[in-house]
Amino acid sequence: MPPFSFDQPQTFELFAEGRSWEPGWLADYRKECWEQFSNLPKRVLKDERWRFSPRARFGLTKIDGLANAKESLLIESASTVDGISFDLLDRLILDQAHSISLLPKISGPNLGADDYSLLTGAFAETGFILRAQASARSDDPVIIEHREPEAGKIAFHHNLIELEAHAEVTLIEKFTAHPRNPGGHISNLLKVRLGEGARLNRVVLQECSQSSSLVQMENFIVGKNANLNTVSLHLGSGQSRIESKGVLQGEGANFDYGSVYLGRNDQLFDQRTIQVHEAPHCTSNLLCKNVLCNQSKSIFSGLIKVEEKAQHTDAYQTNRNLLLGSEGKADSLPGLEILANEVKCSHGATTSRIDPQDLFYLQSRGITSEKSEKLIALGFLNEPLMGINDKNSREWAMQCLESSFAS
Amino acid sequence: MNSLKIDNLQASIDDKSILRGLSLEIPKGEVHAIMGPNGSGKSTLAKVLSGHPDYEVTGGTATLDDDSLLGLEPDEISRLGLFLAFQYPMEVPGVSIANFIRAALNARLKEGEKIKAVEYYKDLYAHMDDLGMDRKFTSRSLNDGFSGGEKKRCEILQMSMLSPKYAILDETDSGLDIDALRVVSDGVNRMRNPERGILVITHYQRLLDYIVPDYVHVMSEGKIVRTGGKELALELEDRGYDWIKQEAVAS
Repeated sequence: MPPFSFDQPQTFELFAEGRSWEPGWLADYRKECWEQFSNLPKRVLKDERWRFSPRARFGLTKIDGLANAKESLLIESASTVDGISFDLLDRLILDQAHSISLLPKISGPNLGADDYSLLTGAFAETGFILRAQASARSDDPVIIEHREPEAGKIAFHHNLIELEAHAEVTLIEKFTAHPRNPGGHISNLLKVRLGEGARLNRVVLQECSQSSSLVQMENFIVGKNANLNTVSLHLGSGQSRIESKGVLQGEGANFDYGSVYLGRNDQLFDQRTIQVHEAPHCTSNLLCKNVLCNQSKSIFSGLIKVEEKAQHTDAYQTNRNLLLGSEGKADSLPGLEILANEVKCSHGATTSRIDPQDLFYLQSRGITSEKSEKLIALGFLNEPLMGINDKNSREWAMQCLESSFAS
Repeated sequence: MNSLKIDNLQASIDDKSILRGLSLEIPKGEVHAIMGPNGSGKSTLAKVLSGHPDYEVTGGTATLDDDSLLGLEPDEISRLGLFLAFQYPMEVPGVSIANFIRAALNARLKEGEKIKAVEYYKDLYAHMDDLGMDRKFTSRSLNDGFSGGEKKRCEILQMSMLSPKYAILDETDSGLDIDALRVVSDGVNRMRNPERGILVITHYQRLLDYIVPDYVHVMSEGKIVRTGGKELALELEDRGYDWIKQEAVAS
């Protein structure tokens, strides 16, 4: 048998044969994704969507097989509330196919990682499906664990969140390291649709191994007067590519996006975001903060796009980077594209080092320079976490960040 | 030796000489005040003693009890028992007062020792009550968005929690209204005891109405040019600094 490769048609044919029991529409969708993937133009040198990124680090040739889907995604805490279902794709495909029918209809964020997005459409055997009926509300979070597969393998997760009108759910997503043989790949595609007045609180904690790769693609579609609050804490993974799209589709929609990244060693964090304002009277607020230690590197590229009819938009985008030591690097590309004339928009990006006067102040209280730097960096990263709505989740996230710093 | 002893100290910044042979001894149990015109080197003295990396010590000695301070890191000096209350405390977003002070106390513990959270907060609240600080301050970011008075109270809070052997208060009265001045001075006075030496740096005599010093020193051009009792401060208030400068030149 030839070695595993996404360049070989047999790779998909063999996979599809093994999934012949699936409904026809899903088989068609997989095939379509595969064909689109196969027809992608060969990588061009100057792709603006990959600017500053050492793209080879996300190369597909390092992958030597598919992960065991059952082991790569686990529900840690399901919902006990009527009207809220939280289940896995592979369990729903046969008998509740209607519950996943939205998956092919919503696109990915399409911010550059088309290859991963299409491969996820073609090969995902699992993914979480979170759905809430109108007005269903849960106080307790539902929790999912994405597990890094063993070295060389890739796990494709195709996830869906669909909240009907006035539903409210809190979701925690954990990404965990492989305990024995780290170095796996995760390609995670999330599609979210919030109905009128719905509210989603989402917290992501990523602690994959330093030798793993993560490609995370998120498309959030926020309906009328709906609220989406998502905060991600990225502590692990050798290289991660994050593509996040927030679409404010209904009047009065609100999108809050926060992310925190603590880079160490030669970790790479490549983040691309877009806030699309399609309807009037919407607000979006994005705050991404990165701390770069050692030779770690971050790239932030963000765009606020306000369409002509999206009057009275309030949209903000901020990226702040703090370099610890002299070898880290942060590239930042903030952007605005405004077609409406009555808007409040701002964007800003800064990269700085610790002010020696701040360091002296902390040291003058007896705290060593190393600990002082950590304290300042921790304080710097605190801000996006303060945006987590759920108090318990917020405290948990802060503790995770603090203990990560201690290690 | 139970004193903070400075002998013929010389220091410069960017090759500009600021301290030019300053000598001063503050025994435990005494409060000394340094007064002097702008640019005489008062704040530089405070920073040099605290180990600020911008200054280069070019001569002289400074010892805390029996330990030399010169050449040590600021955190080492702090752990030896010297506290500097800043004229302009830094704002550190995201670091809460409670976590900051706890980190400072932790830095003083021996291997294996731990701070008990309940006792720590009890102690912290008691000190805050003394300074008329709202308990909500514990979770606020260090000095972030604080008024001038709040910053100075926060400095005194840190000082009282860390209980240093020697404290230097650098222009603690600047930016304070009368009520805040009284609260802050009361905080300092509560810390006066036979086991602690205090050095108060100020422009104005006003602070010394509240924190009454045992000795007043006048600093000019990087040196102590005159030493007297608390009445010297009143005389300075009356006559200004020029006559002392002239006397110093004449001698």
